[in-house]
Amino acid sequence: MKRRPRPPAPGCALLSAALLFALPRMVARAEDAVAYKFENYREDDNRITVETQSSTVDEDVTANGHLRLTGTIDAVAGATPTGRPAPEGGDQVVLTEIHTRRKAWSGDYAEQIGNFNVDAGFALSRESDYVSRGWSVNTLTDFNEKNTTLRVGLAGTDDRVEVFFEPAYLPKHTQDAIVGLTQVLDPLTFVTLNVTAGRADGYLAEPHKFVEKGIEILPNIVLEEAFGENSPNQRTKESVYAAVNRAVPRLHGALEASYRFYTDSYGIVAHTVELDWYQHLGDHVIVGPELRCYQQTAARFYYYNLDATSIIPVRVPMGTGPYYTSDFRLSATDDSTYGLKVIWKVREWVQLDAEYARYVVRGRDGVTPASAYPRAGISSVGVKFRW
Amino acid sequence: MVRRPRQLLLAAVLLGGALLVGGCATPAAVRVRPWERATLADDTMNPDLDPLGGAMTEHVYFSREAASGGRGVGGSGCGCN
Repeated sequence: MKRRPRPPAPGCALLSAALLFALPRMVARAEDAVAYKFENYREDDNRITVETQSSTVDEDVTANGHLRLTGTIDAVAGATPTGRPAPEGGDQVVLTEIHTRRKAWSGDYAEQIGNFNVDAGFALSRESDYVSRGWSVNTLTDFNEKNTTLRVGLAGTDDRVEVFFEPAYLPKHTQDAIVGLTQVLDPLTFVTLNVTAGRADGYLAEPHKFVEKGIEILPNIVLEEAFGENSPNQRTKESVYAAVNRAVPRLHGALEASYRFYTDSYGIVAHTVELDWYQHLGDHVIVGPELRCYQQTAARFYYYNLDATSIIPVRVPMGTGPYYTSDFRLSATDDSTYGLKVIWKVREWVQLDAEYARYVVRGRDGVTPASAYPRAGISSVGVKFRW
Repeated sequence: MVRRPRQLLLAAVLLGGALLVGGCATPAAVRVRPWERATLADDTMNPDLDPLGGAMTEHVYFSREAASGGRGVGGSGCGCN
């Protein structure tokens, strides 16, 4: 195992650590560690439960090169909305039971070259009906005695989707780009501004989601029929993310506040505000209350059902119009998350963490019933060993 | 309805670009010297303090909301979205 050279004196070590860690996310965190975390996402009313196990290994493999490997397993089970509306007179949308498992791996190699850091990454994710291969190149360049850092990144995925009405897997491709700037304002504050743009094309619908339309099969006899949703086969998206991190030494804590503006070619506009407070309790414990508020408008082709429309759905969606979906994730919603995390540095080489958050999604179109939306508890525990 | 946010976004991109081009290497941006960074180096000022937890949380939102991204790019896709 190759270690980084150590500075000769404690004072230099402190300064070196400050230089290294002062601008989070701006340089590869040259920390040799292995971490494991278990997360339980459990929706109310016996709906979806997702148990996620994830582990990361971080290792300096050369004097300036750092490797991170991550493995994740998701086990998903429970009831989830199909998109079909509640039966007449009821308010419970139609649910279906699903069971699936996802296995994902990713690797990143980062090389520090002077003030320039380049990170090349790959990712692979497999489910029974979905395979995704991803790549990324991210660079960080420091300016102004490390008061300013420029982030430039590109990423893409090459996915294959199994669709029940097609004999072969259908392709889906995404490309994303980011340009960002982080600037230190004073010894207690830094700010971040990121601009991202992305594009997806191929099969972008969800093959397990349906829309419903009443078909008059005989005079005054209407049969409610389900059709697969039909989404555009191209989607572009843009976002602006701004954050401020401000330490409050008097309180032994720090605030992270962020806002994200998002828009896409589906007609969705979303706003996200997050507030996180990190509070020292003694020398070894950090407690962090968190609050997140999210709001999105509906996709222009979202319908609770197609009864009030002139749309004639097709049996085999082809990605051409007219488009229609009843997936609640594309409806107008107000989401909120509040929670608390605790990080305990037991020793210099071992750290424990635990977190609980409550996540609630509320529809706001006045049509889609509340039963379509999830309300969940998210709990996690983790451990990290450093060497 | 959609065009206006996109125009705002374009303006933000242009503004950001101007900041990037004009502000990346300038003495005026040197606001803090190395010996003044102790507080900035504290764990409470590290947005990436728990990268595994952050990735899991992002995946929860990615699976259930239409919007995603903003903090970075990379990783694989998922059948959940």
